[in-house]
Amino acid sequence: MTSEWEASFEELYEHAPCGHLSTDMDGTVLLINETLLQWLGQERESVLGTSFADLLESGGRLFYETRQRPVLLLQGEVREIAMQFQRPDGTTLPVLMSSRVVRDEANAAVEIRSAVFDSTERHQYERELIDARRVAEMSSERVRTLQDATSAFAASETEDEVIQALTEAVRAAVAATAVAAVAEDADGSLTVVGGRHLLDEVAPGTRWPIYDQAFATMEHTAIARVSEADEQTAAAMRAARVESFTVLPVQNDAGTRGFIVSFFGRERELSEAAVDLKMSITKQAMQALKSMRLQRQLEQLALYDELTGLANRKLLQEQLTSAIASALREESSLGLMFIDLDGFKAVNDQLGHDVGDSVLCEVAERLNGVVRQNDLVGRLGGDEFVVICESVDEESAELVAGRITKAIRAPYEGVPSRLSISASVGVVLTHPTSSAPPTGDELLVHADAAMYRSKNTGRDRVTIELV
Amino acid sequence: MDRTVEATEIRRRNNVTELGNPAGRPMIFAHGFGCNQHAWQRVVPHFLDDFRVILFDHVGSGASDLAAYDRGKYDSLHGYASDTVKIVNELDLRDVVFVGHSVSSMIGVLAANSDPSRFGALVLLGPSPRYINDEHYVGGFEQADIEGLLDALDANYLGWSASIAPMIMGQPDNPELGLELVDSFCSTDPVIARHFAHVTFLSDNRSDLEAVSVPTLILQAKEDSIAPEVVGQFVHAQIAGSTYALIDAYGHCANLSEPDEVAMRIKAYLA
Repeated sequence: MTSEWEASFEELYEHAPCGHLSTDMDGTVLLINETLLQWLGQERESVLGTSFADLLESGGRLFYETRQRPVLLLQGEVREIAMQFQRPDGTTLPVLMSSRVVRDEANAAVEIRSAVFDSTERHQYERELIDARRVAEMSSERVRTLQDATSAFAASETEDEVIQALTEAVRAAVAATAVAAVAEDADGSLTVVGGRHLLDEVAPGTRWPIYDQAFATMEHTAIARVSEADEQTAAAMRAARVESFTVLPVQNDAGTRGFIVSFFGRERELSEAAVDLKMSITKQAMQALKSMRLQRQLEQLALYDELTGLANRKLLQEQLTSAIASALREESSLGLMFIDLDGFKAVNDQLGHDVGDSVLCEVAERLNGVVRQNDLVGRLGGDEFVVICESVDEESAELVAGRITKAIRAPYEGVPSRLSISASVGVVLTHPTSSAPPTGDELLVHADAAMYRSKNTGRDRVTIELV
Repeated sequence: MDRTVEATEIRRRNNVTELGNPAGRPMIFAHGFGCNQHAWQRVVPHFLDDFRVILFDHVGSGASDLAAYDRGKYDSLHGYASDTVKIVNELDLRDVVFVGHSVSSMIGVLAANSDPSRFGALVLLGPSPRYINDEHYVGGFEQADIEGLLDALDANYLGWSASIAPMIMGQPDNPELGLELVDSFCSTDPVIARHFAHVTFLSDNRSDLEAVSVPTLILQAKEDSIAPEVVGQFVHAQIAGSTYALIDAYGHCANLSEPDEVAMRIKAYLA
């Protein structure tokens, strides 16, 4: 009776609808059933006594040793682990495996028993699922990286901020240790303009040979390992703990060339998708920089006189307001000069607007040539000019105003001597007090009145008023 | 940042655990790929009486702060090494014994090379400076094998949290150790696990070995299919003055399978 039972149990074990496998705690195979042997295409004698890990394909072996076995040893059990056996004929058998540690009476772990289920069919569609998931993960990662970059560029207020955002976005996109932006100056030298340049940190100012290589092709260029680099670069890479780096040449709309340099702490070769992503981010940054430059040009137009390039009325008013505030703060004096050209109307009427315009431009240049370094020259309109002089005393105001009348009265090209031009100058000097600080407009009115006194008392002279 | 705030921040980020004898020599244990600090729970009890024991999880593993996982920083072992140095500095450990398993062996090498003054000894359990074969160097694997590991990781993450995570809530073997068993032994973020696998198995730190100046013990399992004997001997040959000990263990996690022998060897080396 007993032996019949035993025989039937043995039959049940050997030909069970799943594989059975027992190993000792070291992973040496102690017992394997017929079902699993057939699945594996192995003979019992060649499996018994060998290591369980040797039955697995090598990728699965890594997984088994680093993930599955530690859990099994710690927890005593693992369930439904997906892994692949290696058959002698080179094919693999995908399985699901559950394992349990068996203990003896003394509670010592003695054996690992596993049940193995052929998962070939399931493996096929899971494989497809995994592939689909990887593609989905990659594209959503790509979209997220691009979106993050776009919002960072949009939030940037200066070119430096755009470049900083660019290096950070590229760093995140390709998982680089550091990313630097390098720009070429007018004289052809290369400067790090953003991010961290790990090689420059150990050898500042070096023109790395890879730069010229990349400029020659204007294509993504890489040093995938230290042994590929020239001696100088290799030495810097070792010192900076850089194992590989890539250089992406870029060019902005203004024609300025540069690079995005990505540094890696291990040997890396970027996939085509990663390089594409890097290029897309860089393109966006270039676009952001371009619109920033356009914006600045518009602002320039709004604040400067188109003909002479001098500050216009709007900028003069802004600067005057801030000059009053700083004179109050620093308890210093402030001067405002109002300049009206004498004889300009006749030049304009008799010689035409073109000559008139060139005289105005010449006046602007002469004014800038005789004022102090920090004085601001502006044009209110027509032949009226203004100079804001911060921290000025009466003596130097008189000196500057004197230089102005002298400079303006000198002859002009294309203007005959019968049509002489000179300047009537009105200067207002103030030492504003916080009790009743003047407004910009009030100062302009005073300066204008002083200028009229110069006009009325014979032109080509200076009147100074203290308020 | 205030120094104590920063120290607290680092403890939290790396889930730092302090055990043992506060007056003892400091000993810091670093886990390998796929594990967390609980990988040391059978070794640590041997050192509690005489050593100040520090355990931690690498960022991205265990109960570390996953939000601190910066892909650029952790794209090479240097990122992990700089964290290790930070912990050692913040806890002001001197003459510290660093015990690293698997990939953490190389992390320890990089950490000790960057600030040798803090490290008194390195214990490398199952080290491999490079897993991929290269001309005359035998690492044991080919690039395609790493792809196989990534496939295996993904295959198991399909149903990972559902089937494994609840089960690993089980009781620890040494409850007296005071290590609560976290549910995250294996259930790390799959994207991070994949990246860490890349970094672990595709790094090449062979050239860092000759710069090791700290006394080093190499613990090599007799049969280790991840870091075979020939690799352990390579490490031994590259680190001048290192001690090589072959332990009677099978597989790559002698810290779990032969914890007593691992502890005994370390003690003998430090004695």
